[in-house]
Amino acid sequence: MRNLIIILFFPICALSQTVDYNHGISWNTNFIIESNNLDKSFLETMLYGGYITAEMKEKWINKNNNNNLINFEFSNSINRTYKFKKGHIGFSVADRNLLNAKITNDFLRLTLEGNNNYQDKKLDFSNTNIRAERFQQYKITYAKEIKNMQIKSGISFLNGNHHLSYIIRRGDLYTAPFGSSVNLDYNINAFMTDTSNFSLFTNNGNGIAFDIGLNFNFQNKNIDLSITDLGFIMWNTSSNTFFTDSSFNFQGIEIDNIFDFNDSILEANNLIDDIPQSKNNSFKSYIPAILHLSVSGQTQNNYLKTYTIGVFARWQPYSDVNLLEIENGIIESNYTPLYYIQSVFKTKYLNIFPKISYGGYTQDINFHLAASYGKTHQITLGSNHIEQFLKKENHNALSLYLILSTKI
Amino acid sequence: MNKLPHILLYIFLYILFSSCEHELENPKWEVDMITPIAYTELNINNILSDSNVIINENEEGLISLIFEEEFITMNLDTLIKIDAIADEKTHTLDSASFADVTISDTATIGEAIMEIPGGTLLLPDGSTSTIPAIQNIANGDTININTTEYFQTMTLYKGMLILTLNNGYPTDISNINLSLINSINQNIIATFNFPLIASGSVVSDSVSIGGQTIDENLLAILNNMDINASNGPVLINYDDAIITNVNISDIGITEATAIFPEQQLTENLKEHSFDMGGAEIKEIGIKSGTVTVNVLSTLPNGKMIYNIPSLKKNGIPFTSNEMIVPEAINTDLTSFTFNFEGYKLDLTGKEGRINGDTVNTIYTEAYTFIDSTGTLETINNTDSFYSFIEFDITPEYAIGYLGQDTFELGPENANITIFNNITNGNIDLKDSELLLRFENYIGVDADLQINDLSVSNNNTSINVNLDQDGNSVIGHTYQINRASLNTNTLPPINPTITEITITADEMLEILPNNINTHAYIYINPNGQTTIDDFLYPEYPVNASLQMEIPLNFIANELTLIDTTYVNINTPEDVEIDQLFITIQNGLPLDANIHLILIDDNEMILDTILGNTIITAATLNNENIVTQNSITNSEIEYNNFSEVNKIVTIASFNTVPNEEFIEIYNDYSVQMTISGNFRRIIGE
Repeated sequence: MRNLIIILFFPICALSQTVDYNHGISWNTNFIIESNNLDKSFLETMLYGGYITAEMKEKWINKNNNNNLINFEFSNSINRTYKFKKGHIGFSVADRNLLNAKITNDFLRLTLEGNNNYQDKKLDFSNTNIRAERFQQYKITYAKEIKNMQIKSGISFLNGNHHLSYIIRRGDLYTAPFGSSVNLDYNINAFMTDTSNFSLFTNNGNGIAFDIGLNFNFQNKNIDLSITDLGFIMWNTSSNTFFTDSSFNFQGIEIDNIFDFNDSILEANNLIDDIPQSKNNSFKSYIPAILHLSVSGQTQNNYLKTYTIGVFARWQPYSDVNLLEIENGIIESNYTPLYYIQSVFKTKYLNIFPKISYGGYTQDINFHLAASYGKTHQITLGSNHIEQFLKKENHNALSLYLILSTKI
Repeated sequence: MNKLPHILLYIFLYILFSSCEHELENPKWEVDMITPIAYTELNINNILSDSNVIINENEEGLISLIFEEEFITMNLDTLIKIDAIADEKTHTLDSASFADVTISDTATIGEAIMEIPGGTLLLPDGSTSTIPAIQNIANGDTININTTEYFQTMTLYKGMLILTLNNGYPTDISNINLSLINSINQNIIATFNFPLIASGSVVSDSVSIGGQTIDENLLAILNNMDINASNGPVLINYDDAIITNVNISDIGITEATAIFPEQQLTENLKEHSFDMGGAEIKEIGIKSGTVTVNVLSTLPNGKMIYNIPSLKKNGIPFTSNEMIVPEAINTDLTSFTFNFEGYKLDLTGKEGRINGDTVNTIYTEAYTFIDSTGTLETINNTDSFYSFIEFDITPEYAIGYLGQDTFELGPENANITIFNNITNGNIDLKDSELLLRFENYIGVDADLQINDLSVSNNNTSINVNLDQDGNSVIGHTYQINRASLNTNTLPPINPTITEITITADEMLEILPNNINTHAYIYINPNGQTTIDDFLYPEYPVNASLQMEIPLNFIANELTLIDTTYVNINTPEDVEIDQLFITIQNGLPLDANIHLILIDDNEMILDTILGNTIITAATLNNENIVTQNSITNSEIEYNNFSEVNKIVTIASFNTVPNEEFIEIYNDYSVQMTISGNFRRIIGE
C-alpha cells in the first residue's frame, strides 16, 4: 500500500496547457487534496504519516457529517497544439494519480479506534468506497469551427499502471457485550491490480476515453458544453478481485476445552478460512468524466470585463451501468455538482482570475484565484481553495496548480 | 525580449515546489479491539466426559449416567485346549527287510566232454552212446557268483543260503562237494555235499548264514563231482546241463552297503486320547492351530506319511503326504508343520470302532519308509527313525459335555471414578439402579452365587440388599440357563440373559469410590444332560455390573475439583488488556467457580472468577429450563503464558432448593473467552 501511494504520487513531468488556440506548447501541474469534513491534519497525516493521537481521532470522528469525502489528484501533463484555419489539433500526454474516497464516520471509528468502545452497538459503514489509481493518458484533440460554433472532440489511450478500490455497498459490524461475539454483515467489492509489480509505468491494463464539446455564441453569450475523459480502463487478468455478500458471525474458535488454546487461536489468520478468498480476474474501472456547462458574457465593469457562470459535474460509476442507471455514475463519483462564477481582472503585468464556487468534494463555498504572467511565454499559478490560506486551522483542502505555456 | 525575469521566476517556482516535498510515511495509530477468542459449548457429554461413564438418554431426553464394570472374567481356553504330544516312537533298522538274492549258474555236458581227451570223438554231440563212469570230473572248478546287482557287502544277523542243483545230464552224478566262499578273504560261507543226483532230478540244501559277511563277489568251488556210467546208450546232447541256483533269503542285516529297494519300515495305526479334565468333547472346530510332525532319522533316505482320518476340512481327511526326512547330522529334529485353521476334529475315535464312539479321542495313522535312492547306501542296525507329533490347537468351538466346574470370580475391588472429582457436598439421587447382567453364550446350565457385592468410600461401606424379586442378593443361587445354537446368526448362538436389579440410591449417595465383588459360577451343577454342551471360547458369559444414575437429583453445595493443563500463549505483537469470560448457563444449577492459576513451579499465580456466581438457567413450573442465564466476568489476570495448569473448584446447588431437578440432553453451557487487545496500526 505504501508503495502504491508513493507511485501514485510520484511527479513525472509538468507542462501546461494553452488556454487559447495559437500554436503552442504547455506544461500543467495540478495538485489538489480536499475533503468535505476531514481537515488538513487528517489529510496530512494520511499523506505524510505520523502518529494519530486520541485527540486527533476524537476531533475527526466527532464531526457531524457522516459521509467523509476525500479527493486527491496529482497530475502532470504536456500539451502541443497546432492552430489552423477555423480549428486546431492537439496532442497531450498526462500522468495522473487519483484517489477518491467516501468514508462513513462509523468506518472511521472502527478503523481508528477499534470496536472496544462500541460494545452492544452496530457500526455502520455502508456506502463506503475507496478508489485509487494511476495511469498515463495519451490524448489527441481536434476542434473545428463551423459558422459561429466550435465542435471539440478528443480520444485518449489510457495506460493503466495500478488500481485499488474497495466498494462497500452494505456493511455493519455488531459487537456483543464483552466482545463475546461479533457479527459482520457486508457486501464488498474489492479490486486490486497485480501487487507483485509496483513499477511506475508497468502496464496492468489499457483503456480508452473520449472528449466531446460544443462552444457557440447565443445572444452575445458564449455557451460551452463538454464531456471530458469519458472512459474506462480494463485491468488485466493478473488483478485480484473479491466480491462477497454475506453475514459472518464469529464467536471465537470453537474448541473442546476452553483452557486448551494457544497462539494459533489468537492469530487472526484463523479467520481466513471463514472469509472468501480473492480470485484473479480482469475487471473494468471508470475514470472520472467531467461534465461542464458554462455561459460567458461581457460586463461593463472596467476591471472585471468578463464573467463566466458554470457548473461542473463528475461521472464515475463503480461498474457498468445501463441507461436507466446512468445517473448512478454521478452519485457514485462522490462529487457534488460544483457551481461557479468567475471573471478576469487584467492589470499591466498580470491577469488575475477570481472564482467562487459551491459544491464539489468539499460541498462548500470555495474561493479560487489564479494569476498569469506574460504574453508569449506565460506562467499561471493558482489555487482552487485560496480561502484555506486564510484559515488558521481546520483546513480541509489544499490545492495548487501551475501552467507554463509558450506560443509559437 | 528580456528572458531574465522568466528564468528567475522558473527558478523560484522550482524552489517553491521542492520545498513542499515531504517524505511519505505510513500513519500510525492505536486501535482498541475486543473480539471473541475461543468458544466452547459444553453439553452433558462434555461436562461428564469420563471413559468409564456412558451417557444415556431416554425418549424424553433425560440424561442417565451409566457406569459399567466387567463383573466376571472367565478364561475358558484351558477347558478345551489341545496342547499335547502324541505318537512318540523309534523305528530301528532291524525291522527292515531285504529282498532275496538269487544267482544261477549253468554247466553243460558238452563242456565236460570237451575236457576229456578224445571225448568229442567218443561221445560226439547228437550221438547215442553209452557214457562211461568218469571219476572226479570236477576237481576245484570255480563258479563266479556276482551279487553286485544287489549289494556290495552285507553282514547278516540272520539269513538262509539255499543251494539247488538240477541235474540235466542224461546220466546220474555223484559225490558232489561244493563250497561257497567270499572271493576277497576266501572265508568259507557254506559247504554242501550231495552223494547222488539222479539224471533229471533236483536236489536242494540250505544253511544259515547269520553272522556271516557276504561280499558282492562269491565263489562257488566244486571240489568234486563224479559222473556215473549211463544205463546203456543215451542221447548225447551237448546242451544238457547241470543248473546251480544260489539263493539268499530271510535276510536280516546288521550292516549293509547296498542299493536298498523302497520299503515300508513301520505302520502305526492307533487312537490317541487327550486329557481334557472332566470335559468329554466329541467335536472341535479349529479356529487356529498346528500339528507338527517332528522326525529324526539316521537313515540316508527316510520318508514318513502321517494321516488323521478324523480331522477333516470340507470333508477331506488330513494327510501329510510324503515327508522326505533328511539324514540327521546332529540331534536336531526335522519338523513338518501343518496349519489346521478351519479344520473340524472328530474326537469320537476311529470310525466304526468296536466299542462304539468314544470322546476326547482321535485316530491317527503313521507310516515310515526307507525310500529307494537308486544308489549304494550303507546302513546298519543302529540306524533309526524317531518321531513324535505335537498338537497345538485353539478351538473355535467344542461340542460335547463340558463337565462340572466351578469358577471363582474375585474377590475383586474395582474403582468407581464417576464421583472422583466430587470433594464436598451432598447429593440426593432418585431412581438409581444397580444392574447385574449375565449374557450367557455357553451351552451349559450354570448357577451363580454372590458372596459379596458392596460399595465403599474412604469412610463407609454399604452392601446390596434385596433384588427385584425380594431375594437377598448375597447367598442366593441364581440360575443361568444354557444358550442354544442358531446357525442363522453370527456367532451361531442364542444367548440367555439373566438380570439382577438392585435399587442403588443409598449406595450411590455415599459417593463411593470402590465396588467390591465376589461370586462363584458352577457349570453343569446337575451333571450331564441329554443335550450336548457347547462352548465358543470367544463368547463366554458376559457379565457386567451397571450403575444407572438418572440425572434427577438435588445437589447441595456439591463441590467438584478438576485440574486442567493449559497452554496459553499470546502473540508478541498483541497486547492483551483484559480477558472476559461470558457464560451462558443452560443448566438448572447455580455455580460458584474458582479458577486457580498455577505455574510450572506449582506456585499459585492468582485466583480468578472467585466472586462470580453463575446463576442457574430460568425454569418453568415443571422445572424445565426455558432460558439460559448469561454471566459476564472480567478475568483480571492476563499473563497467561506463565500458567501451566488451572485448578477448577466448582460448587453447585440445584435450583429451586429441595426439589429434584432433571438434566436433559439439550441442556448446555456455552463459554466464550474474549479479549481486549491494543495494536498499533502502521508499524
